[in-house]
Amino acid sequence: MEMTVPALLYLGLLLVCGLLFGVIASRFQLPRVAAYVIAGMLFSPDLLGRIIHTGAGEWSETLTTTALGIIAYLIGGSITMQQLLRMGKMIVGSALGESFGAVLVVFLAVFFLIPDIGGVSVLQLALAFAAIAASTAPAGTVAVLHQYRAHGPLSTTLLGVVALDDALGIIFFSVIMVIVAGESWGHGLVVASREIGGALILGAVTGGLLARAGKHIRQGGMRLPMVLGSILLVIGVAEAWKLSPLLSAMSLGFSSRFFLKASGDRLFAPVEYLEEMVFIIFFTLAGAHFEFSVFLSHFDLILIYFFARIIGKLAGASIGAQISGAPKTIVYWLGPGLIPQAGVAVGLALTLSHQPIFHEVSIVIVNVILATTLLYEVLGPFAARLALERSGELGIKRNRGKL
Amino acid sequence: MKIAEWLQRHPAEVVTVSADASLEQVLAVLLSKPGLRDIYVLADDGQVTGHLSHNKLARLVLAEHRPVHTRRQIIERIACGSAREIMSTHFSTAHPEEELDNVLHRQLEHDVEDMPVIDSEGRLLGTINLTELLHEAYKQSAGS
Repeated sequence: MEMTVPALLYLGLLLVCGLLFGVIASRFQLPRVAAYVIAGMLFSPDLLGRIIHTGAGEWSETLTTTALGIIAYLIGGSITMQQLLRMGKMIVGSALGESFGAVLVVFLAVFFLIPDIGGVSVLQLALAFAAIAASTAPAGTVAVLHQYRAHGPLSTTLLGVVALDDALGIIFFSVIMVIVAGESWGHGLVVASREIGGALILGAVTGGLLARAGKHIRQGGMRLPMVLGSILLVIGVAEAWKLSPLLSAMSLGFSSRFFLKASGDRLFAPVEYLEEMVFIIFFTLAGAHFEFSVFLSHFDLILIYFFARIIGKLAGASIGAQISGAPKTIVYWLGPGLIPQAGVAVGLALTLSHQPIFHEVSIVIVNVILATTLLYEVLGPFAARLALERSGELGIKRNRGKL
Repeated sequence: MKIAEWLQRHPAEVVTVSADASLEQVLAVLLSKPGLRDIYVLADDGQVTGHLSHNKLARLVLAEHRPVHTRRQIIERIACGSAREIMSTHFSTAHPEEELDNVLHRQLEHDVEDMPVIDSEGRLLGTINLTELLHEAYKQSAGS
């Protein structure tokens, strides 16, 4: 028996199941990311998706764009200019190195090692995976540092790099998407300048207005609707004017924090509570796209992306750290701490799957990113622990509930 | 009763730091006075420009004991700035010419334990302590 469920009911089922699985995973100290994905998999075409159908077209695109816009706003507002300068060239150089390294190696590996899979050219497919490869999930790294009371220059650099590289990931993604959508390289670059420059200006101007409003609106309950309204407005205008929505939202976050100065965090703290919900949406939606046949038929692509991103992160972090004058410990051991990939990458993959140019390969892109995210989730904490151990920064393991 | 009159009857010591003070310096001031919960940040001309709460300072100093961080908290942890950058510039204040009843309403509305009193030139004159107000109200009700 087949049945069609309304979109809101489907979304509610995804959220409730994701939350339930996440709570159970937390109770047994298992990764929540995997729990969310497994919850989503229940609704995949191989399982309940056979009988439950939904018009998951336009609404899922709007939902994904809005959700990723919220994350981009938070990423943009996570840092001030003074903090960026204080972090120093070692952290910034290493972040640039590891992000660019992952983008470059994934691009080259997919371009040269993967045969034409149809739907898009190999060049476009390589650019698509390269666009997603830069971001790193900070949660896993922070958890390992906390669990082992790690202290020292590597731990500090690691924290700085994982906090910065999602911003670089969104910049790489936005630039590559504009170029991919261009008719030619020359045309692509002209369009890229307009779309990216326009997005930055739109975000900066709206951020200035949001900061001004934030100074005058004192009721705490008004801040969340004010910020969400601004994010939606900016994304909507960006789409209407054919500018990059993600860069617009990130620029909105950065500029509103910049203009509001010391009290800038009042525009971010209320929205940060939404981050977990956004990631539940991403992981369960991506899980619902899981197809075992796609997984098997593109196993080579999964392996190539998995290893290429690791090699890019390791080499890029090492080169970036070396160029920026980091000590040897950081040059050798920064890379292994940067393996996790999670919410932002999955969100970017879902966004990519809605681009008309990638329509025919969207299911492949989402499945590859989903499978590699789970693999990185298993490998990431071990690699980070090894790096901290070898660098001599591992402390005494923390017992639960004790300082 | 005017706020100025209340302050004369209930003088309260206020603790301030300069806007350029580092986190370590602010922390040293906080720990030097047991029970202190609010520190006010002064600009070079002596005007109050910000407020630092006991909770905010504890969150910054003890950040490494938190297993989950937002990106903003990660960056605050590794690139924390001076009092000027970490203070809050939006906080409830009272004026010495205001009526106590008006201020009390604001104090309850915004859940403020110690309401700073700032004059027209931006100078900090003292604070109105909620517990002292409770004492006063209790004395009056017991008397009547």
